[in-house]
Amino acid sequence: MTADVLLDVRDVSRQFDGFWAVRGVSFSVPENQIAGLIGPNGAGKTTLFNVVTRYLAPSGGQIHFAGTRIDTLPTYAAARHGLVRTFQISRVFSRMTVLENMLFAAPGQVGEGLLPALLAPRRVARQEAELRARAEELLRYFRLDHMAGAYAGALSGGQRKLLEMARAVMLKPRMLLLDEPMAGVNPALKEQLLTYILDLRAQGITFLLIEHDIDMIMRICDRILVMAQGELIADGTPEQVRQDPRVIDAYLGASA
Amino acid sequence: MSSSLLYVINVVTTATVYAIFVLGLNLQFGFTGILNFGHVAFMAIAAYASVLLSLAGWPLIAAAAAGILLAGAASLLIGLPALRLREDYLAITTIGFAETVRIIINNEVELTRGPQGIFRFPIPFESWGLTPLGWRVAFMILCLVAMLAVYLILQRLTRSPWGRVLKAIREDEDAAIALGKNTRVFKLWSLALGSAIAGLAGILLAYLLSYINPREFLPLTTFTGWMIMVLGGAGSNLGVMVGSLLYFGLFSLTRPLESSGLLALGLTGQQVGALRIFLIGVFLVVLMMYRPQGLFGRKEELSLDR
Repeated sequence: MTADVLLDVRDVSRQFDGFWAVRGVSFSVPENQIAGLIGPNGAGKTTLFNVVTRYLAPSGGQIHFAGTRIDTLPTYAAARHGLVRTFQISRVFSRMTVLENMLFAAPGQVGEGLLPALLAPRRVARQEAELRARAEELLRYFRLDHMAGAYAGALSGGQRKLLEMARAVMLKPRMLLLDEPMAGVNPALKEQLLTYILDLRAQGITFLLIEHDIDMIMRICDRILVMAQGELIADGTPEQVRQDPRVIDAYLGASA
Repeated sequence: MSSSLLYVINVVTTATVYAIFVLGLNLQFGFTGILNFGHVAFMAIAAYASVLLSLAGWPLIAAAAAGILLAGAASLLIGLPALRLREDYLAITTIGFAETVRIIINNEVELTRGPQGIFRFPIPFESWGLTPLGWRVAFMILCLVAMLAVYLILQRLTRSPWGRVLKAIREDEDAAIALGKNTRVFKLWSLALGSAIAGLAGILLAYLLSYINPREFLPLTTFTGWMIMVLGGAGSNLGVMVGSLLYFGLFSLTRPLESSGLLALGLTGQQVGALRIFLIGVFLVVLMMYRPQGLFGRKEELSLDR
C-alpha cells in the first residue's frame, strides 16, 4: 500500500539549543485519510507542523510528499506540490478584500509575472475572470459570498477561519495541514467546519490536523497520532489510542 | 510678473520630480511594506552616473537609461542580503547604505569632484535655443510626462495579480509563502523597480538644478519623501502625487511671510524662514490628527487589526 502514501515523515527531529522539541518522529499519511495529531501542551505538535511545512528546518530526517523530497526545498515549494497549511491564529490578509484573499491563492497565475502584468493585460484579465468565478463559487460554498467585497480584517474570528480554509482550497491542494482549526470557535461553527472537512475529504483532499478538542477529533479522524515530549507515543485508530495506557499516562501525567 | 511665473513653474517642476521619487517609495512601502529609509541613495547613484556618462560623451537618453538601470541594480546589491531582515532592521541597513553612498561620492574626488559638485553638464533641450523661461516650461512638461508615464505603469502593475502578491507580502509574508508564492523574488523586484524610479527622479533633479553635489542627497531627502507619502496616503499612487504638490505648495504659500510685516516686528529673515517650516509642521500635525490615513488613504484600512 506504499503507493498510496501521500505524506511520509521519516525520523524527523528538531532541536533548539540542545532541547529536542521533536525527536525521531516517523509516520506516513495515506491518500484521503483524515489524521489527527494530539498531545499535551508543549508536546511538539506545532514544531512538527512547522518542520513538515519547512517553516523550520529539520535537525535530522526526511520528509517526502507525493514522492518528492520536500524538506530540502524552499518553504513556498510545499504549497506548489499541493501541501498547504493553515496557522493556529488565522492569518488572512487584513487590508485586502475577501475576494482578493481568494484570488491571491490561485496557482499558476500569468499576471504574477512582471512582464505579462505590464504588457498582456487582456490575457491577464481573461484568467482573472476565470479565477474570480471559481473564487466566488468557493465563497458561496463557505457561506462567505456576502462578504466578498469586505476587507478581510473586518471579518469575525469564525469567518476568518472559514476564509483561511477557503483560501487554502482555492490552491487546489492535495493535502491540508490545519493547526487547531476548532480553537476559539463556537459550537455551531465547529459543526460547520467538521462538515466541510468531511466534505472536502470526499472530494479527495487528505488532512492532518492538530486539535485539542478530543471529542471532535475522535469523531472526525480515521487515525490519531499522539505526541508527548517531542516523541510519537501512539499511532492508531481512535479506539486504539483511547485505550493506550501510554496516552492515558501522558495526558494524566501532564495534568497531574 | 515673469519672476512669479518662474517661481510657480519651479514649484510645480520640483513637486513633480519629488512625486516621481515618492511613487517609487510608495511601491516599496505602500504596496510591499518594505521599509526603505535609504531611498535617496538611488537618486544619487542615477544622478551621478547619468551626469558623468553624459560628460564622457554618451547621448543624454543613453546616459539617463544607464543611470536608471544602475540605480535598480544597486538596490539588488543591498536587497539580496538585507531583504531577509525584519522590517526595522532593514530600515537601519538602508539608511546606512544611503549614507555610505553619499560619503563615497563626497570622497571620490577624482570621479565625482567631491564636495564641490559638478556644474556644467549636458541637459535636455539645450540645442533648442529656448529662452530661460521657455526652457523652464519645456522641462516642466518633460517632468510631468515622465510622472504620468510612471503613474500609469504603476497603476497597471499594482492592480494586477503581481501587485496583489506585493500587497499580500505587506499584510503577512509568512501566509503568502504558505500559499506557494516565492515572496523573495517579488520583494526584490519591488525594491529594484522603486529604486529605478527614484533614479529617474534623481536624473531629473540634476537637470532641474543644473548642478549636482553630495549635499543634495542627505538623508533628509528620503524623509521628505516619506512625509509626502504619509501626507498623500501610502498605497495610493494618485495620493502621493497630490501629496507632493501639496507639500511644495505649502512652502510657496508661506512665502509671502518673508516679505510681510514680520521683518518690521524685529524678526530676522532667518527667523521668518524657521517660522515657515514651523507652520508647515503644525499643518502636517493637524492633518494627521484629522486624516491619519493621509489625503487619499482609506480610513477603514487603518482600523483593521492586522
